[in-house]
Amino acid sequence: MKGLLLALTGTVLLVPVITVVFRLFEVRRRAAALVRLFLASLPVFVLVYALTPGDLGLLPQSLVEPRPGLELAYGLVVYSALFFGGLLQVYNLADRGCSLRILIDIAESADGKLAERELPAAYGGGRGFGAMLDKRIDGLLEQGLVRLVGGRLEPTPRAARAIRVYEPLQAFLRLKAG
Amino acid sequence: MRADGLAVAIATAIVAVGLVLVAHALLFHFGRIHRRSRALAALFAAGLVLQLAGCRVLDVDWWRTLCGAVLVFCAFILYMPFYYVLAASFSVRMLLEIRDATTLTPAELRARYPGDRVLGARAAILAGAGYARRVGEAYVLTGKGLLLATSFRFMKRLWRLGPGG
Repeated sequence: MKGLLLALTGTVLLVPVITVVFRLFEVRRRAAALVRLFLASLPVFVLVYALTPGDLGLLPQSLVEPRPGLELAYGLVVYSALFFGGLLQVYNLADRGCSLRILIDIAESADGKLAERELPAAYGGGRGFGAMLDKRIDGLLEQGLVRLVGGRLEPTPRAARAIRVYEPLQAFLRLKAG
Repeated sequence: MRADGLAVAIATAIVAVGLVLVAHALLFHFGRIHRRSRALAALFAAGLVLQLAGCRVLDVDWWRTLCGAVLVFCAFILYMPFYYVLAASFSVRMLLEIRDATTLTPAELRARYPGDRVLGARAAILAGAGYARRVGEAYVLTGKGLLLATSFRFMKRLWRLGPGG
């Protein structure tokens, strides 16, 4: 139970830390910064686990794990999952979510409604849908997945490796991205 | 109560998640699923029930059973974003189009995504999921949609994320 409690507490504590970092500093690659913050917190997690008593001073003896190594591993797995599947995804959704952006655009419109033909111009707080496409293309270039060769986009070997993973999965599950 | 309760709870969670993934693969490959996200969530819910039942049968105490259940939940929150990358990511779709086209300029790539069509389709999905509704030619938010939009607007301001999207 100690591992689970520390994982939950660690995740909750990361939120104000992230907030302070994002508010005090101009962070350009925010997702990478979040991952670095999380990685920096892992030794702290292990240290706190090692330095605190098995019952945390409040748990009944029945909840004290007889195999602390297993419990520590469990706590780290849960802590990692809550970060990568929770905090990082919430950030990704807020920063890159297309459907969420449509909802916010409707909420921010003058009379709380947007006609379908108005959606592209209103997208992204009025930046327009083209800005979203540019952001995706810039992202692919920045991540080294495509490069510009003579003004034309070309996939890199890194992209080829990613496609080798994604494409068969998409085909097997009969999904079509977009 | 068994002494190896946590290990058993973890093992039941791993088995349950494994079965969920196999069921997902088979169902999506051979079946005709219309509401795929909902189907996937239902599969993970079934996995959770399986994990809980497994722990009860194997005489694991409730707290360690809960630890196993948390692992199933963790698998769910990790798998869903991966699934959405496969199913709905613009970046993945663009990457495939760049690969297939061999000679594509950024402007030509942009032209393949007409805003009215792409956003119209997304808005229709949002309406289908109950986040928005159509009133004449326009979309308005439902209570659920407004709550989500307001929460994320607050978060975007708090973390200084800019317009995003």
